[in-house]
Amino acid sequence: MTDGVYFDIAPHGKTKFVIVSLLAEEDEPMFTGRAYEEGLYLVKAVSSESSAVNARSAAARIDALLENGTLTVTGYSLMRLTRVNRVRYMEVDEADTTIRWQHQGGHYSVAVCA
Amino acid sequence: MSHNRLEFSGLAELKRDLKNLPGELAREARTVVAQTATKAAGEIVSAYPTRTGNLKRGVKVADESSGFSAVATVKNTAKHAYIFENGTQARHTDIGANRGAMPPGNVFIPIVVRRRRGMYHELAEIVRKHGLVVTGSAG
Repeated sequence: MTDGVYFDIAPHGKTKFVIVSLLAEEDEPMFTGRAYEEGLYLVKAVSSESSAVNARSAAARIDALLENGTLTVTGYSLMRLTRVNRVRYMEVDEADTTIRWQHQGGHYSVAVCA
Repeated sequence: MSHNRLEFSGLAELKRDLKNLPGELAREARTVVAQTATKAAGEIVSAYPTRTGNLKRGVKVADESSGFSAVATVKNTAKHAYIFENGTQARHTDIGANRGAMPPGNVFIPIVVRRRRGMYHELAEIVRKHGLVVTGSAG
C-alpha cells in the first residue's frame, strides 16, 4: 500500500493505503489498580481499483505481521495480539459508479498490561 | 466382617439438583442474554446518526435460545450498516451528507463489546449463585 498508513481516515487523493482505527477499548480493573487494557482495532488495506487482489495481499501481510505478533508499547507489556474478525467489502461510489474501493483486513484485539 | 457404615444423606436431592441445573441455568441466563441484547439494540439505535433512518430501522434482535442454551443476536439489516461501521472511502450519499470519506462509525461494535462484557459478569453471578465456582474472565 504505497500511500501510507493513517489513523481513521486517509487524506483526500490517496488511493492505496492502510487504515488503523480504535473501535472499542476497555480496562479491566482489579483491587490494586488496572489488571489490563484491551483495545479492538480495525486494521484494513484500502485500494481504489476494480480488482481485490492487491487489497487481499496487503491484508494477508497485515495478518502475518499482527496475528500473535510482537508489539512495543511504551510502559506496557503485550499480553495478546490476535485477529477476531475478518473485514472484507467493496464499495461502489454512488456518485460515480465506475469507482470501486476495496477494503480488506480485520479486527485485531490487543491486550496489554502495565 | 466390618460393620462400619457410612451414610450420605441428601444425595437424592443433590442428584436431582444437578440434573435440573442446566435447565435452571439456561432459564436464568436467557433473561440476562435477552435483556442485554435488547438494551444493546436500544443504545445502538440511539447512537446512530439520522439521515434516512435506515441505519436505525435496520437494528433487529433475534432470540435464538433453545432448551439448554441462551442465545440472542443483535444485527443490523441495513445494506450499508457494515461499511458504516468499518469506514467508507467512496462518497455514499445515503450514508454521509458531506459526500466524503468517513471513518469507522464506532457505534455497533463498541456498544456490543461493552454490553457483552457486562453480560459475562451477570452470567458468572448466576453460575456462582448455584454454588459453582467461576474462575478467569471471558470479557
